This record gives sequence, C-alpha cells and structure tokens, in this order.
Amino acid sequence: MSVQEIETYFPRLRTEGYTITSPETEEYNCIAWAADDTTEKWDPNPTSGRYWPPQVPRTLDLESFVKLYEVEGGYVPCADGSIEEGFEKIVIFLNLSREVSHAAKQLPSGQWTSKLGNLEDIEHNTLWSLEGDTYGFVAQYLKRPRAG
Amino acid sequence: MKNWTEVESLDEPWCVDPDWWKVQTEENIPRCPTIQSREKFVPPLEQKFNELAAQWYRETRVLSFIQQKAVHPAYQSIIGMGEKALPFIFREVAEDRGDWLWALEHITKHLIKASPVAGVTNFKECNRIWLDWGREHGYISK
Repeated sequence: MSVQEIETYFPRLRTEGYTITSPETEEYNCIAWAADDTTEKWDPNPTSGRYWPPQVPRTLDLESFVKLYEVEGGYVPCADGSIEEGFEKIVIFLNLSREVSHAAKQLPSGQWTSKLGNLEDIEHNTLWSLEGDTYGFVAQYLKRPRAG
Repeated sequence: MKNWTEVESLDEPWCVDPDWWKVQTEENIPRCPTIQSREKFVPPLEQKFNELAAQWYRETRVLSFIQQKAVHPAYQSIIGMGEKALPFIFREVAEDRGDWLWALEHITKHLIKASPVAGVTNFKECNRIWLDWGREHGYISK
C-alpha cells in the first residue's frame, strides 16, 4: 500500500508523523502485533487460520480483549497512555458499533506501533492520528511491568 | 486480430456455435482464434470476480477481523458465486492476496464432509492446506 493510500484512511498521520516499519502481510493482525506475535492472527471468529485462547469469550466486545491480553500477557487496565517507567502499554480502539477495531502497543520512546489491517506496521507519534471513522476511538489502556 | 479466413478448421466449436463465448470452460476460451492476445481476454465470470475482489481489498484493507471483512457485500457476492469462484479464489490464495478462508469454508461446506483445515489456527498453514486441496480436486490448473 502506498503512503498516499495509508493517508487516505488516516489523514492525520501526515501531520502527526509516522513511519512504515514492515512490508504488507496477511500472516498476523494488529491484535497479535500488540502482543509481539507475528506468527498468527488473533481473532475471536471460529474460522480456521486464527488463534484465540479457549478461556476467552469469542466476541468483539471490549471485555473479551481485556481478558485476552490479561490471559496472554498479564496486562491489566490502566488510566492513560502516558509513559510510565518500567511498564509497557497496549491501547484498544472501539469503532462506532462498539466493536473492537484495533490495538496498538507503546514503544519505550512513547511512540506507538500499529499494524494496519493486513497492511504494513507503522510507528506513529499519536493515537489521535488513527482515530476516526475506520478505527473509532481509544477505549481502553492496559499495562504490565516491562520485562528485563 | 485473426479473421475467419485464417482459421485452420471450420470444425471447431466456435465456428458453429455463435454463443460459444457464453460457455466458460477450460477448453473453449484458450482455443478462441479471434483473440489476438489470449492473456488479455478475461472471461465474464472472472472479470466479475476480479471487480468484486478489487472492491473488497480496497474497502477492507485496514480492518483487523475476518468477521468485519467478510460481511462486506463484495465478499458475500463472491461467496454467492459458489463453486465457480473457487479457481479465482485459489489464484488469490496462491499469490498471498487476501484472507479467503471464510469464503472457502462457506463455499465448500456443501462439497465436502469435513474441512481440511479444521482446528488449524495458523493462517499460512491453512492456505497451504487449501491449495493442496484445490490441486487435488482440480480447481487449480497445473
């Protein structure tokens, strides 16, 4: 996908700042990427070719994804996306239908890293740059102690 | 473009059946002598698939979940094409384009007793298994 196409979906990226950090791939999605997995798609749908832990409800509700990251990574809800020394954070977006639409992970620099659907991974300076009709809005921050 | 005087034999089906072009089989399309470049001719069914797939790619590329992608009208129209869509879907799978696992499961559920990818969670592995299945069942030309 060209830069122009990315900016068509997310026009604020151009002014807020971002860089493309990977080629396009269908092999994983944003939910897996936020949990550092680039081998599977994490998706509650029972269609084959997707990973979902059995103890987590198969829905696109926010509660299911909070549970997902708790089960898979030990994340717990937190108040905001500010940098906290010794912690790493994930943010979950809800679209206008109140379904989970996207997740991103905070980098030590305070930037965020996202996989855009089946497109590229990007590093972006703000979450605001991805908010809008496509991904909706930030709904929940999660954190866990940073390893090492 | 060739004209009729250049056709070697008038015994060919396209010479006797004016509607030959409406029937899409592997036999008639490659043999059409009036097509100067066979690569440029896209049969209507494939053309329809290509248009729907292009629309689906364009409008769902940034979505994260198959449930949100598969409800798109273009994807549902492709599923509605049924078994005839399988060669085109397998072409996309072979070229690592798109997520066609939902469509494959829905189209083939009336053709086979059990999905060949039941229980497989890895996307790439599912695509490989489906391509093997497609070759074994004649949906992918050798």
